[in-house]
Amino acid sequence: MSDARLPSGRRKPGERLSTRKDRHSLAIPPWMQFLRETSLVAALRPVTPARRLLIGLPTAELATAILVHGAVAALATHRFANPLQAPAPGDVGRRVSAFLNGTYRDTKLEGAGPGSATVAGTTTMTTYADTVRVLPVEFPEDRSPRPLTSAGKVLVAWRGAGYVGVDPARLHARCAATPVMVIGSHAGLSADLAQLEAMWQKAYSFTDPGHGFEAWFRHPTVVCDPGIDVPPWLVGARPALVICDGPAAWRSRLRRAFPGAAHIFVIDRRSPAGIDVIDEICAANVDSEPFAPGPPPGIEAWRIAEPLLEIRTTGSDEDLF
Amino acid sequence: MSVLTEVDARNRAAAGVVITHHVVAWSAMRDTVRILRELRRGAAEGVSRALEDLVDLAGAWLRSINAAPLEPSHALVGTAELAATIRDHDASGLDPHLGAQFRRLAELLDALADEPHPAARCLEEVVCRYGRLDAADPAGVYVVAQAHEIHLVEVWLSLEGLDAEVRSPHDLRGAAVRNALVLLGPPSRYFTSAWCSPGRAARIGGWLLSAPPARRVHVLTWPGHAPFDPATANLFPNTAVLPVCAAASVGDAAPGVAPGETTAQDDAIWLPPKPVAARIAKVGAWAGDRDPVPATGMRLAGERIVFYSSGIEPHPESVTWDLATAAVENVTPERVRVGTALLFRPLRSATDDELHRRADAILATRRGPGAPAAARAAKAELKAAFADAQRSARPLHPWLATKLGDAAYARHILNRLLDPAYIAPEKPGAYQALRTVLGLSSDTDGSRQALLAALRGACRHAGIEITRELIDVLRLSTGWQRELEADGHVTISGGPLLGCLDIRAVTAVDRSPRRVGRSRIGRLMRITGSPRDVVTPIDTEETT
Repeated sequence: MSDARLPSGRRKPGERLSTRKDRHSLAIPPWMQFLRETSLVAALRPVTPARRLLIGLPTAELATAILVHGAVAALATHRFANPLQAPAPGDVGRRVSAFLNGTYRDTKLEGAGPGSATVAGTTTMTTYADTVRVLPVEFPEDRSPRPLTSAGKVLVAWRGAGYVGVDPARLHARCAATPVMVIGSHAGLSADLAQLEAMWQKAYSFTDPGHGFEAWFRHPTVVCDPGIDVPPWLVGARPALVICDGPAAWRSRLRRAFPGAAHIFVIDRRSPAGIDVIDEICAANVDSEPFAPGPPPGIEAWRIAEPLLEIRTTGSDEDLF
Repeated sequence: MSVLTEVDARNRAAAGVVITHHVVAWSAMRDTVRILRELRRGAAEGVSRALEDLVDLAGAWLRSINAAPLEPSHALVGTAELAATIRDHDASGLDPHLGAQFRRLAELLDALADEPHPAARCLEEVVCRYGRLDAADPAGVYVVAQAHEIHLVEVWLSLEGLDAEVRSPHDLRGAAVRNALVLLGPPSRYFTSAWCSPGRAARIGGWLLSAPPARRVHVLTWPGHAPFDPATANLFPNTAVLPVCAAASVGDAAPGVAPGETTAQDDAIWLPPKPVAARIAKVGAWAGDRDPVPATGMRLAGERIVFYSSGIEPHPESVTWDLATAAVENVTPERVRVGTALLFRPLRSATDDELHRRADAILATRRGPGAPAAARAAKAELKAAFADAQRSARPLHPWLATKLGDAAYARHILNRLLDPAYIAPEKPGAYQALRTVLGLSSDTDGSRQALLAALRGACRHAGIEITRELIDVLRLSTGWQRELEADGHVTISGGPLLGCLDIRAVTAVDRSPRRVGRSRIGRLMRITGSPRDVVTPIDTEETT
């Protein structure tokens, strides 16, 4: 985007944005407030050492949606520093994802410097430079551009969220650069976010969940099924937060692709499979850490330090056919 | 009511739940259960087959009387029938050394039949606390019962003219919040089974205390029930134990039993489930079992067994599910334990036509429209040459083994050639050696082998497609989880083309060192004949 279109109220990196007070904030019950605070803390703290926050709830319904909403809101308010994927001079010539003229597109990096980036067909970007992300080598090449129109639901929701003085598209692009990864059902999360709109207006459009890896760097929230095949390029991707919606998500190979990110494991107390996972974790003698803020009555919370995991390759199936 | 309101109500109920434990003393039942324990222990050490059946019958009677406070003399409980069966067995003289216990047990059963169930008064008092203001309102109280025991509780409620809703634990997971929930026995009683040990059952059933669909929980326990331990309701080890209010004990107070408390004596007299057989004693030999490998045996619900070996495919596939989704994961045999649900795709459950149709379409896309026919012809050429060689009784194995330098691999290839689904050896050297041994011309330019490799890839791709579609069926299906929890096994159909999936819970894992033919690894096998002939209970082995 050219400098002529830069918003007037630019802010320094890391500076907190002022937000309009949520008119429903007084009505938020303690369990919901706890989930929001947990996702906020998990998404913004430094990524080392890797944290695993386990939350046991009387019902897991809506929990992931609340965590996602809280995490995206936190990322929009605070900058998530992720130097691992910021373009460096050595990346010149590689494909990058950038937000150009109101559209997400994959293009070529032609120059990179401190706080600036030059991509094909445009002048040097400064304000939007932090939304430029180097795409992994084997990233799919056939992604079509994704426009964000000013009158579209997504930007209307972001504009209505009350981040004063900053272009909502810039905030959206900044969040999409380090998305919140949800391992679970896209349809289920969408339905839960729609339910949350009774509490937070336009919650679905605000969190803007994209489905599958094609949504990477283009949506603040990326949702993938637990059973999905893990592409090799994913090991180089870095989400701000990984939310595992249930035991199936916790056990998935996909989770192991993000060993350095904070993980939140949502467990429905009524689910038998959750018991098995917890028993396995206990049997592994993991290091337990204090959980702050403490959970309200009715909710269980546990924080563990999990050894870094690696994706295992499958064995050969020689002569099966 | 919106979902948000319902979820909020559920969370609020869990946050403020009040748990009350009602201890029902019942000295006659305590003595009865103690004798039953002795008899069952004796049955495990070797007695008549009739006594084993009698102990099973007594266990069923105890489960009935533990499920509802019906009068012991009620026909649905069957106390009189059990007493008569015991007397008949005593009179038969089959187990004379246990005669005194038989007579004492029959007397106790007669005494039980003459008096009402002491928990009835307690349950009546609890249910009557929570009425409804209007007839159109739902009942204020849930009474939890296992699916097959619901009618027992409903019969008792109708006899007493009481108003409560009887639900199974599965149905209660999504039920609306009410005023009270009544548990007849500790939560573990509702989940203990052959594939769920009492300890794990207590953990699984803990949600009835920590996440109940009610603001108050009343737990009624009496002799015969497992001990009630609220600490098992916690999901994480760092969670504080739920506070439990102790109500005054009901019934004839036993010596040493304080009101509202269970004692070590109470804990000692409950009847735990019958131990599950763990040792798989006999494994019949198969003609093809020439390559034994170290394996772990697993007994599965529905009288099936399966063997897996670390590092040898197929690996166990465990099914993990919760209320909204399910996933399938490859695990090692070491990670499989009692209660793990394993996924099986019955061999050839998908039609061969469907597999071939998909594979041909994939191959045609990759290699052109003529590729499927050419690849099938190359495969048929090998099979025909192998059939000719067999008819001429030429010794193929020594020759192929010499050429490959690996006797086991040579045998594997020749065995697999008998399978119509097998295409050709994957290793280039093995393929060329096989052609030489079978008297076929050398594939000098490698075109045939490349075509066969493409066919193999297309078949794998088609197989993976079918598997994914079946797993999608698994994810989208509802109701199988309930059947799996109740019966321990369930079959999910993907339609006539895709075939079906079989999910079975592991009831025992035999980790004793054993070697099983490679061809049997991962094969789901039926236990033939009497289970006693194939599987030896581990507790018997330990005592003999």
